[in-house]
This record gives sequence, structure tokens and C-alpha cells, in this order.
Amino acid sequence: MAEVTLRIPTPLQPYADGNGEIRAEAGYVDELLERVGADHQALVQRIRTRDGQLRPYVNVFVRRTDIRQLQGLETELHDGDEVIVMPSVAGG
Amino acid sequence: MAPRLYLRAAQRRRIRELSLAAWPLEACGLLEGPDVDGPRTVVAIHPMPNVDPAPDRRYTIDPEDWLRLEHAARRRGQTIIGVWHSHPHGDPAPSPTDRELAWPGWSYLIAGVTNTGMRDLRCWQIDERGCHEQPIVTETS
Repeated sequence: MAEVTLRIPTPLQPYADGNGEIRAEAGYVDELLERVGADHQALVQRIRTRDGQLRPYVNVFVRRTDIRQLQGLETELHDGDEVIVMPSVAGG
Repeated sequence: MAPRLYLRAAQRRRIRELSLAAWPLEACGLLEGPDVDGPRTVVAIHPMPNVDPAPDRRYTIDPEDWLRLEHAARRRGQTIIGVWHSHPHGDPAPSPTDRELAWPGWSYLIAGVTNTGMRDLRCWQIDERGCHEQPIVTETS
């Protein structure tokens, strides 16, 4: 189990009671989102679909690398890691 | 009506230039400013590459580009407060795609341009209740 920080950019902070970061203990990204979701369900609903997958317009970075280029939600976390949620910026 | 957005005249001109240079494709970028509730001041306009596969009708900013800029802005004591982009068909109102993909709390500055110039520049906050226009206050200094 690692102590990590989930960083939340401005557009998602209203779903995290205004917090810009949340500290938690977790071994994997999946576990981190599960733990954060216990207190901030609305936030995690904007990161994952109902079946638990990462939403297409949301990106999660661990150690500054997109987890889609690592092991996805099974990406392992280490003490001090910063996990950053970045929604895609897009429109028409 | 949403809170005002303060924009310098030079920033407005820059958006016009970038939008016209990209026409008929969409230009886009991010807005840097202080993280405050209420009226907002744009301290910097950051042009970003439009990486969308259909740039004539959509824009997408690479999340890694945003991540780098977010870190840099925080080091300056600022944050990313919104996004600007152009509509090459001239209408500065949010499109259905803009409404679908918008993030609440951000400012969406939209330049309506044609091949001859910028028709209008308007700003919106968009949430599940609808599009709320932010009056733009253009400062000359």
C-alpha cells in the first residue's frame, strides 16, 4: 500500500468539495479511485463509467505518464506518487 | 448572467490573429488566470495545437500539453481558468459539441470568424443547466 496524492484540476474540483488534491493509501489506480469514491462519489463518476472503465474524455497520469500507456487502472502506485486526473479539453 | 471576464485588448487581437491564421480550421488554446470565484482576469492566452482529427469542425487539446501548462501556471501562482477556440463559420455561440464536452466552472471564449475577419468574441460558462454568457470587459492598458 502506497501513500499517494490525487491531483484534481479546476474543472473537477466542484465534485471533490472544492479540493485540489486528495491524499490516500492505495496499491493501484483502481484501488485509489475506489477509496476516493467512498467520500467523493460524484468525482469518481466523472472519471469512470458505470462498469468501472476510464471515461473516454478523461486521462489519468501517474508519474507524468498516461496510464493508458502503462497498465491502465491496474497501474501500480508507489509512495509519494502524484496521480493527476486531466479531462480532455475538446469541443466543436 | 455569469461573472465578467477581463481581457486585455492585445489578448483580444491575438485571438483574432490566431483564429484568422488557422481559418478554415479551428484554432484553440488555454486561458491562464487567478483561481478565484466571481469576475475573472485573463493573464495569458496560450495557443495550443489542435490535435483533433477533424479540425475543420472540432478542436482537441493534447492532455499532456495541458498538463505541462497547468504545472507552469501553478508555479506562477495561477491556474488554467478556461479555453478559447474559434468557430470558422462565424457564430460565436457554443455548439452542441461544446455543450457536451464542457467542464463546469471554466470560461469558454469563442471567436466567431470568417475568411475576412472576426465577427464577434463571446464568453460562456457551460453546465448541465445551460450556457451562461460572461460579459467580456476589454481593457486597453
